[in-house]
Amino acid sequence: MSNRRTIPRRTFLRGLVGGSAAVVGLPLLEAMLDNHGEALADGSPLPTRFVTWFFGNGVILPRFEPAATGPNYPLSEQLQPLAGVRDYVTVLTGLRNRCEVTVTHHEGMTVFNGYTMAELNGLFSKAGGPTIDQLIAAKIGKDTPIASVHLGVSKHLSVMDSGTTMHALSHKGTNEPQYPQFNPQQAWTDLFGAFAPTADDRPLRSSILDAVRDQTAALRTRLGTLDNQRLDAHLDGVSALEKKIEATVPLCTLPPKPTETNTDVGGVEPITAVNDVMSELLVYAFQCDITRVATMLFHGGAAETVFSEIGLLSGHHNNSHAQDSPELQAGILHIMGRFADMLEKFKASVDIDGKNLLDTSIIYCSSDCAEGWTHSIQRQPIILAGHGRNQLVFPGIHVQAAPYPQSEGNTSDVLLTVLQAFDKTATSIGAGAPMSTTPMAQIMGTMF
Amino acid sequence: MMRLVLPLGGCLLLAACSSDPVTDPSIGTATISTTTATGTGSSGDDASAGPPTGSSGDGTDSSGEPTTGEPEEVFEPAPGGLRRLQSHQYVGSVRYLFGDAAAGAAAPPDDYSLHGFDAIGAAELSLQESAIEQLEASARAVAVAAVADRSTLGGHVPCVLEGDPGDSCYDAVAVDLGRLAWRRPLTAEEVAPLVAIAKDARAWGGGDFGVGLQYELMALLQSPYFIYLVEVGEPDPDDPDVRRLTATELAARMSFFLLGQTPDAELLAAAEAGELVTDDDVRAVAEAMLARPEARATLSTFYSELFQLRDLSTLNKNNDLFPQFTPELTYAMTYETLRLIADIVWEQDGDFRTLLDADYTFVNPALASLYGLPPPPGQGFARVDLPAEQGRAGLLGQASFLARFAHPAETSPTRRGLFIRTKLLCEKVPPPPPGVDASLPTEDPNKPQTMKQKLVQHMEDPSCSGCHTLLDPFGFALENYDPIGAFRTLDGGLAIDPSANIPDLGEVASARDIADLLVADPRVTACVIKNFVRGSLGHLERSGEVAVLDDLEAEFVANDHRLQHLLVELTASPVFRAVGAPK
Repeated sequence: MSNRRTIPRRTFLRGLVGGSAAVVGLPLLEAMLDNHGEALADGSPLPTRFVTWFFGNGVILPRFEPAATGPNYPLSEQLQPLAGVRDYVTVLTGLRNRCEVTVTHHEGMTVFNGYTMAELNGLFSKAGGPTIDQLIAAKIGKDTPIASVHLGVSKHLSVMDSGTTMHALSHKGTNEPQYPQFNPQQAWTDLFGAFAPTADDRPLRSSILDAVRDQTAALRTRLGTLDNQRLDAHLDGVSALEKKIEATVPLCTLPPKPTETNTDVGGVEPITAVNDVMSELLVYAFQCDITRVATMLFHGGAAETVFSEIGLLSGHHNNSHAQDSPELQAGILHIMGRFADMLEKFKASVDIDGKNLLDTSIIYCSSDCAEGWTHSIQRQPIILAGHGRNQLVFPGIHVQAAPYPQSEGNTSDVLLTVLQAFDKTATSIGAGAPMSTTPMAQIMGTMF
Repeated sequence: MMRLVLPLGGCLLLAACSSDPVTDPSIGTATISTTTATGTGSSGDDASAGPPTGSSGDGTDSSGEPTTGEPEEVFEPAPGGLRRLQSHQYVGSVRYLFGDAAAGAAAPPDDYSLHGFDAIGAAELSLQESAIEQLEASARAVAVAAVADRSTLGGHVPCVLEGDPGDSCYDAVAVDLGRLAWRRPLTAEEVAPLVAIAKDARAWGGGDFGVGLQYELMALLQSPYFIYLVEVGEPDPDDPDVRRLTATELAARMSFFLLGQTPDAELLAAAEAGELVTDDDVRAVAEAMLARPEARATLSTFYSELFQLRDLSTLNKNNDLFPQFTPELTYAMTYETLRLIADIVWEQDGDFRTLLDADYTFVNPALASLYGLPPPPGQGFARVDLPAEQGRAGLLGQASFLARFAHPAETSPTRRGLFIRTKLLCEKVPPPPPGVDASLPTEDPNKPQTMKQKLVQHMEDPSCSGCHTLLDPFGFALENYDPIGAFRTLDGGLAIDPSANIPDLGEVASARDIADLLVADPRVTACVIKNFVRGSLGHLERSGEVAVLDDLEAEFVANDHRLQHLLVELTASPVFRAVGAPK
C-alpha cells in the first residue's frame, strides 16, 4: 500500500523533537503569520476556533432569560457570572428544540446536531447524526495536527442513558460517539504528548500503521456493513495518528503536564480545578494551533454530579427536580461561573494575530432541557460566546423568538448559522423535524 | 420459561421509542410472549395504543412487532462479526503473553458501554480517534516492559532468551507469539511485514535485538487481529443453514468468556487438531478452565460490572453525614459482595440464588462496625452470620448495593428498585412520560415527612404511579438501611415503616422478605442467564434465541442452580457456539 518501509525517510525537525531547541514563548506571532499579519505564513486564512460547551439539567427560565432583547440587554440573575465577558455573549431564548420524540434529557441533545435520536429503546438511545463540532472539524480539522478534541469535567455521568446520546457531546455518527476525556493528564497527553521530546521513531510507527492498514483491508472483506463502518472509523483513527506523527512540531512552548487527575477527595469532586486546567489546555491548544475544534462536556444531563465543592449535599440532577429551589439556583450559578472561567481565560489569551481568543472563537453552549423539573425542550436556551472573527454579531445580543412561556422557531437555525460561519457551502443541518435550512440573520456578524 | 422483555405493563404507554419496528428481517417475524412481569401485564399490542411507544425494552433486542402466542422455535443466533477486546480482556491477554509487569503497563482505551454492558458497546461502537493513539501508546508500554523482562515471553518463544538472538528469532516471534495474540495461525504474508518492521527497528536501534523485538510486539498489539475478536464462523457441517464458530474462534470465545484472556497454546493446538468439536469436548475444556484462578477473577469482573461495584470507589457521599465512607470502606463493600459470590460459586458450588438469600456474609472490622456487628478477629475478612433483627439477606442487605443505589445524603427507593427490576429480574423500565413535572411535593417544614411518605404522595400522580409502584416498594422495604447501608430505624427523626406491597411479588418489609420472594421467582433464574448473554456475549438476547435459552434455564434449574454448571452448559449451547451472518 505504501512504500514507507525504509527508515531514514524523514528527519523531521529532529532538533525540536530532541527538545533542546526552539523553546519559544506563546504565541509565536511572526513565525506563523504572513508579512501583513492577515493570514498564516502559508497564505491560508487566520484560524477560527469552535467549542461546544454542555451543562446538564437546564436552567430556571425566569431567572435565566434577560428581561429585554437586542444589544445592551440586561444580564439576568443566572447570566450575571458572565458580566466580565458580557460583550461577547449572545443569548437566544424562546426557541423550540424540534426533536421528534421525548425520552427526558436525551432529546435536549438535538440542539447539538439537529437530529432526533436513533435506536430508541427505553432509556437507551444513540445519536441520530453527526454533531456540529464534527461537521466543522470535517471542514477545518485537516489544517491542524488534531481535528477535534473532546474534554469533560465532571466524570459522574448520566444514569438516564444506557446508550451514547448523553455520554458523549460529540458524535461522528450513530455508532461513533467521541467520548470526553475527564483526566487532565490524559487530555494533555492526547493534545501535546505526541510533541514531547522522544527518540525519533516516527518512520517505524508509520510502518506499523501501514501494516495495520493492510491487515484491516484483508479483514474487511470477511465482515458485514456495520463492522466495516467500524473498521472505517478505526482507519480514520489510524490516519489521524499518522497525521500527528508527521505533523510539524508546533512552534510554541508545550504546557507542562498538569498534576490534576480529577480524583475526588473526601467525596468532593474537584470541578472548579479540573475546569480550570481543561480550559487552560484548550487555550494552549488553540494558541499553538494544534486543534481548532473542541467539545467540553462540563457535566452530564441527569448525571450524578454533586457540587460538593460549594457545600451542596445532593446531586444537581436531583436538585433540578425541585422547582426553583435554592440548591438548584446555587448549582446553576456555579455552572455559569465555571463557563465564565473558561471564557475569561479565552478573553485574557492572545491568539496568533494579537486578538483575544473570544475574538477568534465561537463557543456554542446549551443544556439538555429548558428546565429540569419538566424536562421541557420547548424553550431551550442557547448561549453563543465569541464572534469568531466577526462571523457572529458583536457586541452580543439577546434574541427572543417568542415571549415567555411560548416558543417558536427552531434551535437548529442557530446551529446552521454557526455551521455556516465555518462552512459557507452548508445549506442545511440535521434531518426531519429538527432540520434547518434557515440560518438566523439577527446573529450574523459583519464578516459572515 | 425464558421470556423476552417488554416494558413493564403499567408503564407501557409511557414509553417513548422509535417507530421503526421491523428493521431486521431476522427478528421481524418472531413472536414474543407477553411478559408475566407485572400484575397489570399487558400484551405488546398495547404499545401501539399510545403516543410514540416502544415495542421492546432495554432488555431485549426484539423490536419485531409483538404478537401473542408461543415463541417460534426457529433458532436464530446473534450476528457474527467484530467484538473489540474489553479492557480487562486486553490486560488479561497481555498478562498471559508477557507477564505481570507488562500487564501493569497496559493502558488500553476505556470501554464503551451500551445497555449497561461494556460487552455490547464492544460489539457495536467504533473506536474514536484518540483511542487509536491510546492503543499505540499502550502497545509501546507493554512492549517495553515485555522486552525488559522476557521471562514470560520466553516461555512462548524461547529464542528471545538467548544471548544474541539472530533475526530468525523475529520470525519465531511472529509465528508463535502472533498465533497466540491473534488467536489463529498467521499466513506467510502476514509474518513478513512484522519481521520487516523488527529488522528495520533493529537497524534503527544500532543492531540491538531488543529494539527490533519491541517494535515487532508493538505491531502485533496494534493489529486489528489482536484488538478485535473476529467471529465470522463457518457453515455447520451437520446443518449448513447455521453458521458455527470455527474451532479457533470457539477456543477464543471460550477463553475470553471464562478466563478473560487469549486462548493458550494448548487450547489452540487442540482446536486446530479437531479436538474441540463435540459438545462434550467443549464441556471438558470449559470445566478445566473453571478450575483455573483466572476464571475466578473473570467472574468477579463480570459481577463488578453487573452490580456496578466498580463505581463504588468514585461514589459521592456526603462527608459530613458519613465520615466513615472512606476508600477503605468502599473497597471492603466491593470485596464483601465478591467474596460471597466466590463462596457460593467456587467454594460451595452451591445454589447461585444464595447470593440473594444468604443468612451470612463476610466482613472486616470496618464493615462489621457499619453493620453493628462485633469485629471479626484480626484485620481481614471473616464469615459471620447476619443478625436476624436487621432483616438483611444476601446482596440486597449488603452495603455495596445499598450505598451504590442511594443519593449522597439520602436513600433512593426508586434506584434500589430499578436495580432489582433491571439487573435481577431483567425487566425494562421506560422513561418518565413527556412533560411530567418531576418535582417532589414541597415539604411543609411543620409537617416533616419520611422519604417513603414523600414518594407515596408523589405516586398519587397517575402519570408517575404506573412505573413507580413497580420500583419504589422495593426501596420502601429497604428504608431501614441508610445511604451507606447502615441499619437505622429513623428517617430524619421519624419512625420508618418499611412495609410495602410489590404488585407482582407481594408484601415485604425487609431485604430478607424481598430475597425470599425473589428466590422463588423464575424470572430471577432466567435473568442470571440473560445477564451472561448481554455482559459476556455482547448482545441483548434475541427472539430467535428464546428456545435455546429456555433449554439452558431448564438445565440450570435441574442442576440445583449451580453457576459453574450453567457456565459449562452455556459454552456448549448453540447461543454460544453459533453465529449469524456477519453484521
